[in-house]
Amino acid sequence: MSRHILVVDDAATVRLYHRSILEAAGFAVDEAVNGIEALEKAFSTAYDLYLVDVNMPKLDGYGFLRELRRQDMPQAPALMISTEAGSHDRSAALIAGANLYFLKPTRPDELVAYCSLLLGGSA
Amino acid sequence: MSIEYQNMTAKFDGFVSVDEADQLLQWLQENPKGCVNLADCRHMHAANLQVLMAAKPAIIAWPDDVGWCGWLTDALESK
Amino acid sequence: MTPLLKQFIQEGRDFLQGIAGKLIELEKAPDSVALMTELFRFVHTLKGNSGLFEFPEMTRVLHAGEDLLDAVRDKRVPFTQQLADQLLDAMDFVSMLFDEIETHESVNMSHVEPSNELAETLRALIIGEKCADPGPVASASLTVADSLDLLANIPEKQRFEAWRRANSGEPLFLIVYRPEAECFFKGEDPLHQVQQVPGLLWGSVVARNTWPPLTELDCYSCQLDFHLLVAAKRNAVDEFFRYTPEQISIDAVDAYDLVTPEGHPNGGPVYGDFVAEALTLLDNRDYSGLAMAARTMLELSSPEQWLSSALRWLQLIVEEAPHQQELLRRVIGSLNTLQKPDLADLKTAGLAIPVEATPSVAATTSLSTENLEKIHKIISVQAEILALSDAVDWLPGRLKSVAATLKACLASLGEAAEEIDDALRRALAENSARFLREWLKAYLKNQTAIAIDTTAIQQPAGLTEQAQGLPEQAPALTEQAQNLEVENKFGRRSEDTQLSKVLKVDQEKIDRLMDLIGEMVVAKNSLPYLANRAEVQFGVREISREIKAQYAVINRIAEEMQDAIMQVRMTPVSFVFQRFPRMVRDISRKLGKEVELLLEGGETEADKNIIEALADPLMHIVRNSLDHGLETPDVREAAGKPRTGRLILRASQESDRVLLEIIDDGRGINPAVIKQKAYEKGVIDEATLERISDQDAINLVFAAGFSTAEAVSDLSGRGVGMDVVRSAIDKVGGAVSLNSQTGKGTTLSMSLPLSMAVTNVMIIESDRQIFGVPMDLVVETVRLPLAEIQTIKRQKTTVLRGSIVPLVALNELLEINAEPLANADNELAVLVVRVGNEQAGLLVDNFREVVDVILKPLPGELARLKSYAGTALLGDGSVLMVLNPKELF
Repeated sequence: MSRHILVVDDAATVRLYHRSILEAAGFAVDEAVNGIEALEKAFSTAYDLYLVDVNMPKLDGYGFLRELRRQDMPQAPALMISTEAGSHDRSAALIAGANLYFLKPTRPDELVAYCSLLLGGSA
Repeated sequence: MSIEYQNMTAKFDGFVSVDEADQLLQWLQENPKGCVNLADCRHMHAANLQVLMAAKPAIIAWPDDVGWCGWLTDALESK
Repeated sequence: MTPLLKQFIQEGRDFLQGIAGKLIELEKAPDSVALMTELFRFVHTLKGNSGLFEFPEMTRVLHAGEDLLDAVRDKRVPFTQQLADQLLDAMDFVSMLFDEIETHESVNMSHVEPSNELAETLRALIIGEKCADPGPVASASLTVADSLDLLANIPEKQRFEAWRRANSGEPLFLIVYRPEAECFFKGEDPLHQVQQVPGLLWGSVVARNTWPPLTELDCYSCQLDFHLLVAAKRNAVDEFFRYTPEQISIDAVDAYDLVTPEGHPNGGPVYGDFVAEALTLLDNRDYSGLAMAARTMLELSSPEQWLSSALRWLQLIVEEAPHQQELLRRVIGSLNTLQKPDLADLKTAGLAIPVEATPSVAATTSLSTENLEKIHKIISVQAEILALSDAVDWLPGRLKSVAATLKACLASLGEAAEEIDDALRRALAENSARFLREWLKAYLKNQTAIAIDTTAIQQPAGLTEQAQGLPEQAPALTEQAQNLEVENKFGRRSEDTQLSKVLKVDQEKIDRLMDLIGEMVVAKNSLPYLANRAEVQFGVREISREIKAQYAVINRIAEEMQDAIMQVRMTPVSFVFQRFPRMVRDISRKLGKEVELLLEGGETEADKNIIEALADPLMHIVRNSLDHGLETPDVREAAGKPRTGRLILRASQESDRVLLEIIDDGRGINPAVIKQKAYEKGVIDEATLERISDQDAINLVFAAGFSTAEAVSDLSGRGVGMDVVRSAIDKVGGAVSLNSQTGKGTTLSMSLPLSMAVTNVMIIESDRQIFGVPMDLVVETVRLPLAEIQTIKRQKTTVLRGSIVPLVALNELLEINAEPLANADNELAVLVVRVGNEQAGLLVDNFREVVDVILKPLPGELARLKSYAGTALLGDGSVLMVLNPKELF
């Protein structure tokens, strides 16, 4: 089963947090520090899932998702993780191309469970 | 706390239990023109209601409680 | 939890095990009266026990099972495989209820319906049987037309109230309650009961049939039906009727169906002008004007008239829900047509009537409830995404991602997902979410495992005219999705039941004793140190001697205590074995194979932890045997073997170890195939490929790199996850080996310690540090003169008892930059240890004493350091790192 996840977040702590949780659960994890870098990585590697932060320099999460979804290539599920609880932010994320919307902080077990399900494996 | 049979009237009083049903049925068989007074009836077991519904006696008084009275009139009046 | 409930759960689980066991035995010997009698007794007793508690869902299923078995016992119904399957399913359900009772001490309302269905299924098997407990009375369910008629009977006042409640978001239900005829004898008073129904808005008592003449009336046979309208949560209603769910039908009521004016059809003032005026007021959103106009009009009309009733509805709606423009428009329109407003197309689009999920039974997957809820949530969000506007230039990407997400969900549910690809292709061709939306809608409709508010996937474009001013639905969806109760599964098998149910004493108590004796062993070890200090440091030799004497006493008591506690923890292997008859039966049937399972030595005992650790690997191995080892009957016949394959699980004790063998007479493992595969996977190099023996080749299936190859399972019959098996066995200090003869079969042997609570460890010294080595791996200790060490191919070796033993310095393995120290006689200390099936010499500086320790795994990240088996606390309070020689080399 393919289990390659790209974590997109400008905060190193958050990336490490996600990396450690996801790797412990047996997933392969790559990181990108902003939307631009994420796009570059997405073009060269076929990821199975994206974990995307909202606010990032250069290109934010919405921008990354929109651009990603514009590409004519296989499209993996994307999970957007935000600090904003507003319904506006949530719908903006879904419109931009997210498949799920989460609030920080994410509980490790929840995150792993959702990732496993989005990767098609029963966790 | 049961049914008082006075002449041609069966007067329901308070809570009328399931045990009253066969006597009520017998009385209504013997007194086809008997009337029923429900003014002081607070509740009757379904078995009694069933007998009243089948025998359709004239009801000469209804209880005050609106909700309870509603159940009874709905079951006994139009039928 | 009360002791009684605890006892009930413990005993209940034993009964369930017994029931499953007897059922499977009966399949082999369907005529055995003894088995049948015992099976009946189990079910009967369990049913009786459940009756002591408020678990009607459990009692109902067990009661049905009991009746069915009674019929079988009396030979009224034959014992069939189908019957056994049904009963096993029912017991799985009961087992699931036990799990729930254990965690929550109650049973979730969502189980009422599955419980009912199961009971009905079981009763349906009692063919032509007039059972003592007449199951459901002629079904009380309603047709749509029936329920509309019923609604029309409800007085306007109550319908107004119901409409108000629905408008404020409460669900409405129409209930038909049909008590069984004998209910009066059970002390029930349905008339009293219906008055207590939660959220009751209206109720009516009706005769079930036309009444017979009074002389024939049986006043104690209930002939009454009850019709009720309630505004309450569905589960509150279910809860209320939980003891008699088969006697009620519950239908959700759409608030639009309430809007039906009543009264005399003709007469009254002319309404033409009023209608025009009202429509203008509505267009101008002058709601107070509209309300006033309606009031004025009402004053002019006789209240009994149909038109007055319609006006009252208009008044109510304009006051309570003026945003319902379309509804108001149609009610106004009805004043013109004198026909009741046709609102069918407004249903589900307007008033947010929560369509509640119908709990249902899904038996296909084994996902946990939590994960089902998560899948449910994910799917709801995808529905929401598909309802978004299509007018974005990244729509194809969005559709692909939604399709990918849905496919992942289906894969997690273990369902096929080809249809999604098709829907995606068509959606992409049309550049519209429509096809995916339709697919999802159809999927959810057929889907029993996941109940979702389907209003979320209404065509959004069609709604736009009405959407103005209507409450927004989408944002509420996720919360709804989260609140919805997803049906718990009972697809789980008896193999999931945990071993904790085996001990009759609470496991925690034993564990606590275990911890305490562990501390005791460590504490007592400090006495020799103390004695030593008394003598060396303080020079009081007598005290030292007394301490040593006391130590001997304490040591003996501690050892006996430890032994006693161990005895309590000893569990027979049969507790792992007993799950296999069912599993082998189910899997072999699924695979179309015939397999005879023999269990031997189930009474062999070992520590509970060992037995537990055994469970998963054993399951894995048996699955592998069934999947790949044993052939289908035809293949076996062609190979000249009996059609029925044989699988033996054998346990035995050999001194302080438990030996387990899993023997099948299947096709065996072909070493040539393994060699080739291992070479291709880079597990062995070309040189090894040339000279490796067949036995060594077979053992390659345990190599880590090997088992990741998916293709291997098809070729060899072994290999998938065997490294996992090995590491699980390693972890508890066990060893595993494999023997196979091509065409004849495979034997897998496991050897495990009887107990792993206390480890016997030898302390060694190297570069001024001390380390522990588990004694069960130590073969011997020798002092080796330097002259006896040869170097072959840059590898230090020596000859011990005629065989070459490679020597490795511990310092080197641990990357400590120091040479091993020789003693005064120029000898090196060599600790000979067993690594797999070979021996190796570990060069150390010195040997020390052997101690009993409680081995604790390394905490957190450190656990990844495989070269250590764990740490142990020594008597002087210092920490000993215990090596894991198997991983060192």
